[in-house]
Amino acid sequence: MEPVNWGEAFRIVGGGLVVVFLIMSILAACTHFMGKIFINIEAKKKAAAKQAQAKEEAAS
Amino acid sequence: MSFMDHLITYHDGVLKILNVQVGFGNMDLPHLIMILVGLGFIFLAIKKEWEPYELLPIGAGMILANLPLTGLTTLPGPGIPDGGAGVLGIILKYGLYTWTILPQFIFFGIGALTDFSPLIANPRAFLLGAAAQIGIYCAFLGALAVGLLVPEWGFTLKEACSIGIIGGADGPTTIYTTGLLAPDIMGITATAAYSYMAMVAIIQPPIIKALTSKAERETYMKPMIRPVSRMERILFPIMAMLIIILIIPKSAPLVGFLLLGNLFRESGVVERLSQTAQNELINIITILLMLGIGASMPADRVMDPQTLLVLGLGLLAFCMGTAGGVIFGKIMSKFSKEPFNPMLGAAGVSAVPMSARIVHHMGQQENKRNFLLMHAMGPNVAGVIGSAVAGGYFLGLFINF
Repeated sequence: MEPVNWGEAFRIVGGGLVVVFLIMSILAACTHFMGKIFINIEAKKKAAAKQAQAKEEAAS
Repeated sequence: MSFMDHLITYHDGVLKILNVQVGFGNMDLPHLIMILVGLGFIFLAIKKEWEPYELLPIGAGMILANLPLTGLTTLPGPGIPDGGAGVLGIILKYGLYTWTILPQFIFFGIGALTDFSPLIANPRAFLLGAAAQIGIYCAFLGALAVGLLVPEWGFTLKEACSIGIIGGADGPTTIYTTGLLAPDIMGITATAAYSYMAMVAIIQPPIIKALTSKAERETYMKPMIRPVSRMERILFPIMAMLIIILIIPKSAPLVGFLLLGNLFRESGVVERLSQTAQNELINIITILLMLGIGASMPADRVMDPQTLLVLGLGLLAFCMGTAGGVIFGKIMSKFSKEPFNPMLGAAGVSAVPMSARIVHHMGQQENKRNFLLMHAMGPNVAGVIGSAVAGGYFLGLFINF
């Protein structure tokens, strides 16, 4: 059994934690902004539909 | 030759035939123990309904592989005549050791079965899924520390990675990672991962209770999460696949297949393929994979203290993962504007959906109004991605493909 290289072991742990948290944070941020964009689009669509309905009502 | 001599020769011949052809004569203690363990798994699967889809075929595989003289686990290879390899040996060789394709197709099916909406609606759950991977690294260091105490029981770096990954509570990731890094302990690590997943209801509640106050567990959260549009559900697997694989390319076999399966599900245009992935494909692969895992439990190592150490370290990894998730949940609850129940962190281990159900159940025990299932599903599915990322990271350190 070869002796453990603890320096390498802790580098692996540090790197692993950084990588997992980095990727998950990027995914969280991207998903958050994607959600914001789609919520805005939905809101705009609803507002446009409301406006169109109001115009129709005013015209009739 | 006298009559007695004939009788003795005949008797010796019969004994020789019996010794070669009858299993009883060739049964030894390690194989007997493995058969008993297999029977135990079958009992737990049928009587207790603990992960029956996994533990039943694993138990059956253990029994079949450890019955003497069957040749079921004979691996195909040079020197083995056509038809000489056993069916379990063929599954092991091509499904797990040489091609390692079975875990990836399980991930494909899991992707097709998974609804990521709770995670998309609440992206901060990604962080809980990351925090619960802390157990992987604790067990990794623990496995290496064994060598300091008892050098002959020590583990190599690759074995330590394989043991640590049990803490992700993700069977396919454990199998895939161990199959490539330390195939000798694959059977033990995979069985440990599935066993601990089956015991989530026993392992997690005491840890959650020890780390949270009653007031924290009672924290009420609104049951509704925002509706997620179809386009978001389609874009999510594509975006996640690109980001993860561009950072950790070696996670592609797991993450790529998981998210590909999910894209099939959410696209809505390949319904037949999605249904096949969710049903027939995952069922067939589960049978092959679990039988293979059961058959890969080496009887000669059952008495080995290292086997018990792997099981112990796997349990440590699972416990530390749960603790890491809960502690991170407590930190998040301090910074959250809305009430946030820190128990949700425990669902960050990727035992889907058992961990989420445990959190939901504990939430209801403390506060009848609480309905935490949808909140807990977010970190739960994030945990699947997190453990696949951790597995890919380990592979990237040691494997070139």
